[in-house]
Amino acid sequence: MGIPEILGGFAEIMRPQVLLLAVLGCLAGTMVGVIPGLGPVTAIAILFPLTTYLEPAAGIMVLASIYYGAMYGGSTTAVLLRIPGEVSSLPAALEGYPMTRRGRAGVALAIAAVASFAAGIIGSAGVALIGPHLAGLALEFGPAEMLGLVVFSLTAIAALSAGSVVRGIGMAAAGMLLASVGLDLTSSQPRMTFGSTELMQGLDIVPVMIGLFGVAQVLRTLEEGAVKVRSQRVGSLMPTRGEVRRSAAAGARGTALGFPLGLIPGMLPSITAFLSYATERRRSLRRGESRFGKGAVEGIGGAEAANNSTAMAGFVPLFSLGIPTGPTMALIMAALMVYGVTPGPTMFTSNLDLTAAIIASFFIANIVLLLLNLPLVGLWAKIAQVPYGILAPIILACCLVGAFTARNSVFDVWVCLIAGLAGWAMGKWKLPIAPFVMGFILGPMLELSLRQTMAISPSSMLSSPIFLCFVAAALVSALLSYRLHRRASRAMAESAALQEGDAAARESEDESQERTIRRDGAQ
Amino acid sequence: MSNPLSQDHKAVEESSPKESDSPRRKVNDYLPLVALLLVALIAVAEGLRFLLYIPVQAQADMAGWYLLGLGIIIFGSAAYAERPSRVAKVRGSVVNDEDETGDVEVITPANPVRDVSLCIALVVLYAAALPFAGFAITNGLTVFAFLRFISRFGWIGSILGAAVIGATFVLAFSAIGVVLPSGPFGF
Repeated sequence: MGIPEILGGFAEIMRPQVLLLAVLGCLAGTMVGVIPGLGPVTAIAILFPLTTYLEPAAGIMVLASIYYGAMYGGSTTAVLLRIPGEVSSLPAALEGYPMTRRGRAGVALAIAAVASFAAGIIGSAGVALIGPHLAGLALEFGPAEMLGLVVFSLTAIAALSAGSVVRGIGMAAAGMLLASVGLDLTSSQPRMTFGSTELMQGLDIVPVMIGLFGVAQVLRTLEEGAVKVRSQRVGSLMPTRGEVRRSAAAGARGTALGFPLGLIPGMLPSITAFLSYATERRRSLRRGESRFGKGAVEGIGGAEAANNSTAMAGFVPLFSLGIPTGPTMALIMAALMVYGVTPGPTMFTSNLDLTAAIIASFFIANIVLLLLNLPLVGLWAKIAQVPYGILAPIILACCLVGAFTARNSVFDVWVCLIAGLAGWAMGKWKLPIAPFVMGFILGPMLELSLRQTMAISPSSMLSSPIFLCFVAAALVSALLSYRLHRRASRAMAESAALQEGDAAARESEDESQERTIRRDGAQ
Repeated sequence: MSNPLSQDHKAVEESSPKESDSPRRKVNDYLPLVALLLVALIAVAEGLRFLLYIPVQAQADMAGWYLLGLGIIIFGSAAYAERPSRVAKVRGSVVNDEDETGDVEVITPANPVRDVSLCIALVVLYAAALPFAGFAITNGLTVFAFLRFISRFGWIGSILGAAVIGATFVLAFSAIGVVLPSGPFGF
């Protein structure tokens, strides 16, 4: 696909009514995404029926706008309320919320928006120019390679957890155990169901995530109290020069990390967002100037860029191979089929014009999102200024509706409640939640690739250089994070000792000064 | 609407609470360890059930080994990393974002245990009533109860708030085509 085809695609969609649809899609997606607990998957699921009457290119453009809008909306609630609309917004919550508490929410939101925009544009260009060629590489990944990749991803994420890789791995295993609830892959034997027929269908990701993040947050706030900050206002959108430099570099690294990994089927935006976050955190720790956990802009820019570029890269295997890379892509694939388009190699041959129009629509949707949402940041941010006494029942109701609409099942509302209690307990006990979540998401993939590898031949793992590279990378990652944690704790102990020493010196100095003053006074 | 949370809640400057230096550990310190060991026990028991009791013809042994492996990993990590002495050491070495409160003002709840219990009870009632009473009634009543008994608005404020929020929800979800359960009155 060359530039003439892409320009033809732009000509196809640059019509007022189609552009208006893109604006409406962005607004609708952001409005749904901004509601705590509702992420892009839910946004697309509930808004997709409204787009079925549109022509394919316009319909896909609206879906893309909803997708981007909901992702940005998720980041908005993550930054302002510390309630990520989806898992990939968790880094934005971890770093953006401390900035909100300091009155710098506008900067965090602007960095998230610009990083997402830049990664989205680069990702769109990647889909158009190099996507079809790179798709072949991802297709060569067999079960052993996927196993290595998942093991590496989980190890890297475990390094994120508070203070201990061992704790992280344990929590990841607990998440994987939760994901194994349902019927066994091959034997169809019920496992971890305890005789419940509802549990046989397994646990859906949406109610579990909504419970872990949304309901748990409501319970936590009721227990600990709502934060009343003067800084709840958005503030200026302009970052400092240093922040621009740090976030731009992190965004470039996040895009470079997110796009190639996003080509691999099964790699969700949340995984690359966390990988980027872990990488940035590690870089920062290595430099000894870590502000992570207190509002590090590189944590926001890198993760948001990785998130968006991975989301864009997901279109490559979808369009060229007909393979969805995650639940959102599966929904878009279903939408394409409703529009009468079959995802697969024919999209780059017989349907080239349509594919070019769709890719052009990605560029337009990204631009519309940036133009529309940055000036409206204040409007979205008004949510944070609503008293928590009013906001909490709305959040709770949204969470419960979101849990219900995932599969139209009341059982999922119960799942949401139990996940909420579990998330609340984890928060109280300071158990790391991120590896647990990633274990839950990656568990089925790890189990499938493990069982496929074992079925083919266990020795296939040793004969795969890619698998061995991933395992080596996992080991290096674990060792590095162990060393970094040790170094960090030693540095903190030293600085605490220094501070104590300083305080003692200051006290003795004060005492001697007082004694001198008293003596002088007496004389 | 009058005085939301602030009626029975006082705003206080959050100060860094001093941890007790007492070497004696409370029962609560062992709760994460116990909870994770229980989870590990369930995984091991389920894994063994697959390995020992599911007929060989079902070819479920891989599932059994998988669950057993997860159970052992959870057990090992909990036994090593969740000991209260170890947890205290790890927490001491980690920069906690919650510690960075600065001059942030926190509205301390007057009775958090009551509020949390009420909230959980409301969600339980919501899940139980949704299939029978329908979305509009269940949602409206839940929001009303929350506003009145947890947020502590007045009766009129709570009724008005629940009506506005409830109606917005119903209209918004109807407009975007989400089908929600209807109650005895057809909504």
